[in-house]
Amino acid sequence: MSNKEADKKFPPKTANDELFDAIFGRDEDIAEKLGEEIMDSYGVSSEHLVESLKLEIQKRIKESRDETGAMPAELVAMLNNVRAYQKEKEPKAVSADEWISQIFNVSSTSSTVQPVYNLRTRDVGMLSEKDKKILNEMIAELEE
Amino acid sequence: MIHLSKLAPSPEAYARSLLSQLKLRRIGDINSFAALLGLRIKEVDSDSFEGALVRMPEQLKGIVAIRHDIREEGRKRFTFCHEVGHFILPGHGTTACICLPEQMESWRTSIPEQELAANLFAAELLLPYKEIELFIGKRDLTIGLAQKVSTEFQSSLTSGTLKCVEVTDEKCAVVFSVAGLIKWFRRNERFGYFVGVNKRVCADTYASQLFAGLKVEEPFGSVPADAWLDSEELPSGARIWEESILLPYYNSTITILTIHKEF
Repeated sequence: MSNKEADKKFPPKTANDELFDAIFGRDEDIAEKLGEEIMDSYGVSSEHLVESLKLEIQKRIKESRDETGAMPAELVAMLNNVRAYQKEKEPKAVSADEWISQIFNVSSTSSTVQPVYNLRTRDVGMLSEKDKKILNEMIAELEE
Repeated sequence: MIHLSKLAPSPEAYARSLLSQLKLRRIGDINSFAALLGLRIKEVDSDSFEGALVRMPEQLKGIVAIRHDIREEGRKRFTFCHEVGHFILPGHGTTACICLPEQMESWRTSIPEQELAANLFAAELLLPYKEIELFIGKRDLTIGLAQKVSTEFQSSLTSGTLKCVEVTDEKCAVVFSVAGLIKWFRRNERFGYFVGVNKRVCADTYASQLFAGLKVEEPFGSVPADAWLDSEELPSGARIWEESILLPYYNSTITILTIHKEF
């Protein structure tokens, strides 16, 4: 189905929608890769989101099991799907020596690359203001 | 995302390859080592995280933050090596990360996979298997030997003990308990038993006496095997060798269990 055909299923765009489309581009034009680039610019990676989802499902399975004494089948199936997805996306195995050599042969010197700021183990909101400031200062130092 | 498949190299293999690439047997001074990787170490007054890494994607450039009030130098070095793990390991390196105190030097399987992988990487980088093997030779594994290893390699006693257990030819396991509760244990492949975690340390053990504040001149000796081991198949009267040490500041004990004679 083309994007145009898909559009027919949605209500007509408002003036505001048209304005945002003009500024940011049409939602329909955002391909998966572009979507990932946009997410990257906000310090969010799809891998991170999937990993967070997996941890959340694991937590809920545990809670449900503790409360009811039974494994919640739907959540377990969901967890298996997430694991299968991660396995599919897993980088192809290279030897450790090969990987380390590649790291030392990195040639990217692009000045447009931004330091990344993404918190793997907790949400930004869970960090104190002081710690956010520390991390932001580190990013600023790297950018210099 | 880690999710290392069974075919992928282990985190330890990456640590060994890194040392080999840099033509080093040990990491030595962490600031000099960091510079070889394009990293800089910054001690920070953070509230919640023990270590953090901010890096430029696809470049050998980054800053490792380490909380300034970490008491032991060995723990600081481990934290640094843990962040290097995130910098080096496949799937870890595209983002920054912060690491919490309870995830450092922890071997509970419930911690996130990437944190566990970074711990395995750090333990090997700080205490390379081959170097430890040479250092301990054929000596019996004791807390005293683990302390010597920790001093020589500037690691924490926890890391030093774990590596000794991994390397020794004896049937050994290490148990880490906090406030009288068993938090985690790790065994070598020769030690064929499990220790139950999240249980109270049994009263028949030296560790229990240490938690109780009793003065134990020699906290080592033979104790009933079922005081530590979770097994239905232990013959009656089976005994195991225990050596424990109290870490008063952390209200914790480290215990080495050794099976001298098969039950």
